[in-house]
Amino acid sequence: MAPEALSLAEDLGDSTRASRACGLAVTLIYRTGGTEALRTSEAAQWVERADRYAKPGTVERAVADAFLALLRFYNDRSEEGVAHAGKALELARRLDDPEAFWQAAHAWLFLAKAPQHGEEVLRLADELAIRPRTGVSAPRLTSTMCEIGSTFLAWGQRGRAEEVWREMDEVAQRTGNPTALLFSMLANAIFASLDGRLEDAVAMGQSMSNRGGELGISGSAERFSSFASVRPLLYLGKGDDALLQVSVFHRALCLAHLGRQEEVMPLLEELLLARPDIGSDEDETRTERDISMLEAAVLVGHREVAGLLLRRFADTGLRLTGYIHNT
Amino acid sequence: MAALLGRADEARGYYQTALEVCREMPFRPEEALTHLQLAELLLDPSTGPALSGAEGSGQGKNQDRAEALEHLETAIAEFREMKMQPSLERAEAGPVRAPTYPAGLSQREVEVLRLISAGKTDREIAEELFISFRTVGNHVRNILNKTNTANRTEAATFAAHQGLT
Repeated sequence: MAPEALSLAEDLGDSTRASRACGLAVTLIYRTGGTEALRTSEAAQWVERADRYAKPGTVERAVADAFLALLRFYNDRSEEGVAHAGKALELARRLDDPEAFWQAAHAWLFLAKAPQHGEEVLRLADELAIRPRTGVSAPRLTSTMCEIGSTFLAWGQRGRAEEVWREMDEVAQRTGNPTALLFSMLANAIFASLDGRLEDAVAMGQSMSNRGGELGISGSAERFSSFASVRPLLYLGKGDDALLQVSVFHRALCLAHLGRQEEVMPLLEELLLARPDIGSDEDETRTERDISMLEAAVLVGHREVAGLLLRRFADTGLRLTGYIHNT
Repeated sequence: MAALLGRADEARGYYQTALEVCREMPFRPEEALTHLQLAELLLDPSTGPALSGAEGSGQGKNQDRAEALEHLETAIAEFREMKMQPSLERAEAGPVRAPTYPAGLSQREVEVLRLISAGKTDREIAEELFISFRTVGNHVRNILNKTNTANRTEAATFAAHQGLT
């Protein structure tokens, strides 16, 4: 549908509609394939088109910046990604378009996960928690609510996270939107894990994966399933199963829990000792990645790596890593 | 990390804060793990005396031991209920685990190495650790052998590189 819509808009010389058609294509690619899909040339092509057609100061510009933010971030240009998210949010604040505002806010909450943004992200979550929801679509609302709840959780505010995620569940049940339903399942799995119902949390992760397949969003579902399952699997002593579900950044953690120290040391050194800017303001590495490696370093007694990472979090008030491999 | 570096008092404070945070949340698996780590710290012979005060008074040691056993019991009950098998096995096997240090250094050698890094002489180290001048010399020789360093300056560089200072 998006290619036809784009072609029609191009024929009409309507850049607003052309940019929107491209945005629609990116949204579908992202929702179906998850963040992995953002690494494909197809996604890059649609985002670049959306960017090209978006005029300065418009809703389409804010939306295109939000897409560029995701694209850059997931193509190893995280600093640029966060900068685009900030730009999108700044513009969206000046425009009277709730959907664009929530999209930009989602991009910021989702990408600005480095500890130096912690307080700013919390302020935005505070603002969004009480902001009217009128004019915002269910998928946008629920994806942003997932991030708001995660932010509250990261700051140790479980009660507020529960409140936001309860509302998210109501929207999901009312609309039956597939992505919204997945977010809601993820939230339930996180609470099960926090409450020590570890086998339930793992089972919930598995149902998310199954349900995602039925709903045609298996890419996102697999990712969410991993967020929910890895930590309880490690607690339960099923590190081998956890290892199958993680990216390279969380591999050291699983190996450390499995007692495979000789593999953890070189992996940590490869990922961290060569990283030039650890802890600088430009370091946009997500908190959950470094916390995962910090835990691995402490488990295997790698003082140098642990010391480097610990300094990064020394002055933050963060308590947990939110919904991703929560700890 | 403080426990890893042998800074027992500091580690105890962090574990107690972690317990409060986990209870407040609540975050049950992490709370149980913190009980275990605190028990391990209190029962560790290499850190226990430091926690009981410089004199290592009998009363202080007994209090720490009683507190440690309470933490251990809580942890075991929680691990069992949540089916946290690896942690349960670790807790039931006995909580005393000597920390591991690079190059096979012992806890005492790490303490001496830290003081070397701070620029202290053997005499000053002996006074600070309540050990003889000759014992310090032995420790220094072992440190240089184990870390494959030629002198105190190189050993201090090794300590800094390993995050031991």
